Amino acid sequence: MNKAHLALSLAAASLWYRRRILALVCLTLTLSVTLLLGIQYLRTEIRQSFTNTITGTDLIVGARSGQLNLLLYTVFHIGDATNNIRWSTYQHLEQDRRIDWAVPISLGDSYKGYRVVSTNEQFLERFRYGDNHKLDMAQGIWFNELFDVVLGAGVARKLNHRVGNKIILSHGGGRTSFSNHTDLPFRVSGILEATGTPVDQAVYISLEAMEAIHVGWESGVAIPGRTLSTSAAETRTFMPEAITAVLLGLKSPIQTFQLQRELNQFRQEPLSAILPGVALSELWRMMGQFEKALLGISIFVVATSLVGLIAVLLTIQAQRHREVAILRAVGASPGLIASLYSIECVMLALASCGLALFLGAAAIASLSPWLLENYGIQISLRALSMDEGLLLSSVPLAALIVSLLPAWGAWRKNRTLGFGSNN
Amino acid sequence: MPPETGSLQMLNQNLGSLKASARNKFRADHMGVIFQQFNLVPYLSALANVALPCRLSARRQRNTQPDTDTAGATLLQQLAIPENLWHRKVTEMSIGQQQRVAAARALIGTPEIILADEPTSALDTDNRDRFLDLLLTLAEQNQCSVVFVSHDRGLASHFHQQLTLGSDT
Repeated sequence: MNKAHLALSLAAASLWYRRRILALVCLTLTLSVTLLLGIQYLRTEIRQSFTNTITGTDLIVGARSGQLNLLLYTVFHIGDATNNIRWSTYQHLEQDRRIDWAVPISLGDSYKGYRVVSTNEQFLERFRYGDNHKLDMAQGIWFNELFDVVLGAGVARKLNHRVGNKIILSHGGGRTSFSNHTDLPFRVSGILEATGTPVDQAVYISLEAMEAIHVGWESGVAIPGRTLSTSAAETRTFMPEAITAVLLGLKSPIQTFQLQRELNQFRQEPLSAILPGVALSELWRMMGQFEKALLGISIFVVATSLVGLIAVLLTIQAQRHREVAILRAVGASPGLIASLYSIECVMLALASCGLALFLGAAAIASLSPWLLENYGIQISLRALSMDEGLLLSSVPLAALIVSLLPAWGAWRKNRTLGFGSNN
Repeated sequence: MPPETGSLQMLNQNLGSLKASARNKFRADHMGVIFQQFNLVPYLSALANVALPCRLSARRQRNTQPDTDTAGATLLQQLAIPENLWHRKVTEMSIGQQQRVAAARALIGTPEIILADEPTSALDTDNRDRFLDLLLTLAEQNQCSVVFVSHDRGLASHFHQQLTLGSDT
């Protein structure tokens, strides 16, 4: 008891005495543990956020393509649609008795780099994310007039738009587009509540508006004289000819696979129907390899810093023979001397883990608004999970194991040679 | 180290026949050691260095009155270490001061034997005499035997018994 107290206080004093050189090793270890812990933490958070991106939708139907591609452009707004599907197909689906609801989606234009999603009021009604959360309006109302637009929370925050602002959409994707729909400005009618999903990073208009702004654009650019003015457009009625994709909800989920097969073999046009959950988990599996590799790398980084720590401790040990001789002379046993090395190493590892926790928490707290804004990833501070706790506690344990090397050397040397033999 | 031949008797114990751990305990309980130089643990304060033997030996802890810190402070005072240095790092002290702190450490808890291995060889004459006076006076007060090894024959008169080893050429 008394001995343990002595060993601890001696080790602490010794660490403090050598703080300059050890601070660097400690910093290396802290950074590597932060990396390890951060990656493990983000893996859990991102997987959670990712698999909850879209829920409640049984099938996503688009033009024939791979399921990942379809998922990426309909849900994540990444990449472009391979082709459109006919409006008549949508009408056909709407009339199918097995289908409870169908949300049409048409993509193609953008607003300052954000995708324009043209859809109808069913989107607000039916889209679900997370633990079956519904979309809510933070301000204003869902589009009502032809030239109304609803903004995702991220878009509104980033561009500082409010209800009533007039905005001009661009033709095609991309942050800087040279062809804008200047003639037909839109009025912001509402802003959606933040969701932490790609829904935040898009603007929503009606299918009719999408048709209206493309009158006269059939060749890909606006032909002067053939485009419409706002007042002319409002007197006409528009019927879309084609849309990009349809989100489907079924009356009975049992029929999902049957309907999926039917749609994949649809006679009138080539379609792909995917199950969002399956596609999401396939996408995650692909990225999962990557995150496992990242975790593996970070484990190696920690191992490297531990080896560096031991190298430094061994170098210091060579300079400590006088101090050891004094301790031996006043009656310290070889075991006590050896334990000093182990205790110092574990203390350093514990300090590094503590600093890493602090650093990680500070990083998450300061980066999470930025991540939500720029990547739509919602990461919040939470208590460490079992896995993360185990991973973190493995660091001092590994330090203890590697410290046995100098400790055993010291013990053996002091056991075979007397305390005075160092001179 | 145990002797290779013959036996080593100290305080009615044959040290050669003791186990390593028992020798450690014997050393902690009954002996104070002063080396030539570098006597102190560099990361401990003067007072903590003096108190070190008491933390390793329950017997010497018991022998300090009324407690280790007070006994250490008394010894440092008797050995003329300025009080402002007691809680400072020992590396800030002069060699003479360091050797006197080492003497305090050897004396604390009244061990029976003090082993001094040329403790004065790094000191100038004034410091040497002062050190020796203080050490021997305090050893007498505490009733310790001092085994003092030195090349300096001028010191011989301070001691009751002298033993000359080898030829002195």
